[in-house]
Amino acid sequence: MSALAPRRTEPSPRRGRMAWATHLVGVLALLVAGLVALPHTASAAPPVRDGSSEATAAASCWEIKQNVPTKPSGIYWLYTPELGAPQQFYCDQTTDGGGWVLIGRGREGWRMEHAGLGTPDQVRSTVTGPGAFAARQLPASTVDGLLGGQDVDELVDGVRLRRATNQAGTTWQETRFGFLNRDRWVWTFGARHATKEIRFDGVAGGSGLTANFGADNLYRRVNTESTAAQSWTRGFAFGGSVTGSPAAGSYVWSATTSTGWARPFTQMYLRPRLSAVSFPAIPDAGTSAQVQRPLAQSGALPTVFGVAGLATSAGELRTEVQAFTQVGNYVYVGGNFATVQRSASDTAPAAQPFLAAFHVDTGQWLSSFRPVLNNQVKSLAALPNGQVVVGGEFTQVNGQPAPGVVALNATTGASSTTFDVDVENRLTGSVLSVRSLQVSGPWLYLGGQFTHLSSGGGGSVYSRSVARVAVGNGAPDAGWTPAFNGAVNAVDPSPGGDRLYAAGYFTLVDGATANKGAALQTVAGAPLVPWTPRFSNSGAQFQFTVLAEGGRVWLGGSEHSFFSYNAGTLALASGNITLRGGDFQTSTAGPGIVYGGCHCDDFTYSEAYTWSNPGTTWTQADKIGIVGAWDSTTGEYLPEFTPISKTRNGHGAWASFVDSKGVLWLGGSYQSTVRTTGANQWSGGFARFAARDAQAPSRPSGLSLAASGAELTASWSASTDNSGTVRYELLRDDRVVATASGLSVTVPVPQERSRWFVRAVDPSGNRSPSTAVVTFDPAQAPAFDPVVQEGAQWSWRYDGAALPAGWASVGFDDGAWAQGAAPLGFGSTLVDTVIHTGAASTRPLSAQFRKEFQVADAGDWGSATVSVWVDDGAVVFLNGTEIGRRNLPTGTIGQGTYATAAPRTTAASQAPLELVVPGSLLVDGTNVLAVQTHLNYRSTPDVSMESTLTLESPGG
Amino acid sequence: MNTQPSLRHPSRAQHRWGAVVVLAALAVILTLLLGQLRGEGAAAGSGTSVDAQQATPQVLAEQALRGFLTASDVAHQRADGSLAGVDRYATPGMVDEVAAGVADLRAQELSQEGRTVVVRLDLRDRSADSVEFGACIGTGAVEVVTTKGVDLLGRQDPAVRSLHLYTVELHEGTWKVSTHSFPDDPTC
Repeated sequence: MSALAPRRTEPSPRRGRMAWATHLVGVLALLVAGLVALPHTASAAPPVRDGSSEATAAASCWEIKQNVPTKPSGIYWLYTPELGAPQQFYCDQTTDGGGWVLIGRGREGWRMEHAGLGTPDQVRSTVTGPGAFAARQLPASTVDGLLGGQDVDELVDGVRLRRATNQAGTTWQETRFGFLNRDRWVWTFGARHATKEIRFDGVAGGSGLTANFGADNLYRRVNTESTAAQSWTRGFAFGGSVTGSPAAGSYVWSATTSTGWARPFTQMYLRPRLSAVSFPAIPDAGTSAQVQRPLAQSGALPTVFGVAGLATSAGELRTEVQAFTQVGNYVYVGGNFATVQRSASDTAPAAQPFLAAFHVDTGQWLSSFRPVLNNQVKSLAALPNGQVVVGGEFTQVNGQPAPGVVALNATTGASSTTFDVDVENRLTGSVLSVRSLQVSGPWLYLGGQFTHLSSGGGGSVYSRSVARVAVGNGAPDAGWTPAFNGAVNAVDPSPGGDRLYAAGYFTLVDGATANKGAALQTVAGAPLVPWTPRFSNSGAQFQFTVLAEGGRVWLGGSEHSFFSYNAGTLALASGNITLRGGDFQTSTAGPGIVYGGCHCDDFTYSEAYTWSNPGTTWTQADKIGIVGAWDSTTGEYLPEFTPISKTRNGHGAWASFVDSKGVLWLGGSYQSTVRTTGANQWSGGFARFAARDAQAPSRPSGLSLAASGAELTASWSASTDNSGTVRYELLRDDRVVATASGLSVTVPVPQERSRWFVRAVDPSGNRSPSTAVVTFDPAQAPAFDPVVQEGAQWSWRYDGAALPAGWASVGFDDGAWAQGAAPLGFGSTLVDTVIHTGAASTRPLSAQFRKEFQVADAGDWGSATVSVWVDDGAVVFLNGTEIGRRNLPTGTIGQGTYATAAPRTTAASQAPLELVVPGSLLVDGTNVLAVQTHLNYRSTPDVSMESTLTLESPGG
Repeated sequence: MNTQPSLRHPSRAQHRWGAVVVLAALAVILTLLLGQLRGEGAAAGSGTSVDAQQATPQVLAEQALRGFLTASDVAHQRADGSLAGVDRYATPGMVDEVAAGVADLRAQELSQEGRTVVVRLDLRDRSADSVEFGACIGTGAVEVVTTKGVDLLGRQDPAVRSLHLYTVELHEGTWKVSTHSFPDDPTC
């Protein structure tokens, strides 16, 4: 048997959007059902891993070199289990035996963030020359993927730098060195990692840390520090006696021609010697979903509103923003700011000192909330009754006395008539200050600098620096009155409410030792829980922040420390030290995550406990830029979160908060941030960082396989995702062999029995569960023949006149109709033939399309499968017989019939109408597939038609 | 809510003034002492080493307290981290209290101006090695100022005063202030 229609053997990639030949739905059902019980282990010989395709991706450039020594340097597919899917990289296959993978290149401007810089495509596509001078670096996680589970310090060839040694780029130097003790990859070369095996052009010599190592002050040196003299750029600089040029085309750059420590154009390579890497077997049920944690994105959300100016005097403890809380749909922002405004240059800023509210979703200012305070706000909390309670250094609110604390109507800012507490500070030489407010059960806990509280004109209660009042009316609890011998900067109740943790300047509580960190029971009497916090040095004078999260108590402050303690034993559990910049000043929690803010913009050392020398036993040195993130249960630093921000005078972050939508708010003296787009923007006092997408796409379904000649086409039904777009990974046996943006993909037919799965991946890298196994056995593959293919030429008519009689039948003469390649329609970039360009009002409701095809032996075919985009509505005919309709009413369909729905073209292309019709509808010779489309309304934005027809052998 | 004045020192409950006889005896001495002290500023002491032959414990304890208050004022005025010899008059715990206050001021780039005034000093309890005072301290002349001289306390009532409770103990042969607290009602 044969089909006479011309074949398109290789659908274009864009055509992959369509369910290719729709596939043999019934046939493949039989195929799958019949073979699923077959042995699972593929017996095919593994393909040669030459890196030429996803299916033949190699574990390393090294493996390609071993398998095909003649392969030149260039871009190849590499794949390890840690990479997740095949990716393309540049391999240097000539230097010193080849097998090197390029992980970064550039001149000055290298960065230390875990995310690297730029895109992997940029790294691999332009590898040298002035076009490669702008530094581009792979994400550190991708470099780890290239290592395939190997530690960085296990690389036998170390790190290879290829550096230009003259401004013309005609001479080069080869530098090799290793990390002495390094597991995962980092870009923090400036953080003083220990080195080993330093060689310059093959000659051993020199020593030092990654910030600065080598043998002389000329070319046998690598310096990765940033300095003012070199415009705060980083690179892999030569020694101080080597100067370059600021010329754009110079391969050796300096800020001036006389500035030493010139930064040469540098390529960085690694040579992981991985080959024949095994992948974990996939069970019949398929792979599990893989999602990333909902960590805040490093790029800030666009600024909608901000705050600016200082309402009182300046100082690091009087920054613009010092507190957040949320009531309903608004986040309240408190501090020492003067105005609310839309931009740095807003010509009409609103005077609203100290306290304002912004919508949690839109960031819009709540202009009805206009409280009037006479001094700065240092703390905020939400009361159960929907009021916002404010703490600070004010004494009057809305014209009335309100020392230290006030509750406000969350819409208007009017003072509460039901909640009343007066706070006093009877200490000499200090200012009344309520610095922390936390609600736990029936209590509102206060921390600060105060001695007495009263409510409703009643007598006062002595409770020093920490107290609690009833959330309902503000009455202080006279039975829980601890006395701290120093100010308290922060309090945080335990999740169970049985403890209150405090951080501050104190050393005693009720006469018992509690050194800058304290744990109090919340039972009457406020008994102290023994706790001996550790400090980074003997000069530590205070702690600024405390947080009970993840079974740990996090304590941060002086000097440069953020340590966690087991919440049960209060034993030290983890520690981080920032080297420069400094003290931690705020902390908050997201799902499984702790955020810590500081006035730091340098490195954070994990498992370090001393400052200013973090010692040598630290385990990680990662970038931190004013705020960092930690796994709340393990204490592990999460280096992916590295926002780039600028704060006035480097004061850093003094407030942090995760809102009900998972958005991280950071406050302090923020002036600018970098958005997810990479653009710099004004940030007024605070900035917002949305959480990464942590939701997996839905599982694709209906994986089917169809062999034709040397090709195997896999197709499936669409996955959905909150991002609106996914791509698909087709897995064979234990690994990904192809990716597609559409619902099908064609790969070479395997010669052996094989197991197949498909899964969806969203733009953030979240992976759906895969389909269950579908087994392919070439010996049992059915015959099929696509006779109307994607992109075929169709006859079409788009006219308001009545439908011609018999237009869908074989004998109809469509010679006067227009011709065009599918998809046909208008209003979508997916359309290849536009059938209407005029005003919407002139559009007919229905268009008709005919496609003739030839069948030599119609009786030999058991069935035909038709796939049609339905946009907006469609009726489908085969040889004049209607075989299906969608989005149209029942009964007779005429030229003036409206469709009942209005899907967009993209949606229609992803969910075509699939029809299986009996072979008895076919005739020998000319057959006609006809489609009649209808608009849902005349101004519908897009209309399209694409259809395929595949013949199938009886019983497939 | 407890509206009765109370002391927070742990020994307070065991040392209430139950012994009228003792009080009567002390009253004579106190009357003499307080008559001299009332209305005077807290002057720096010149040493509080015990010389049982020359001064009573109350006198020595009081000297220590006044020295402490003066040194504390100076430390808060400097607000540079130095503690102005507070340790001569205070146990380590009380030195920590002053250090904490000074550190807090310093972090905020603030300092104290003006001095406290001991308006009245009442003996609340005593033993051979411990004396408890109620000190009515006036702070009407005290300001907390920024580096630009702006007073953050605002215009204070010149008569503002608070009742502080201090314990002065014989500590390694020297009378030193060992605790500082307030009653629930700090008015005086």
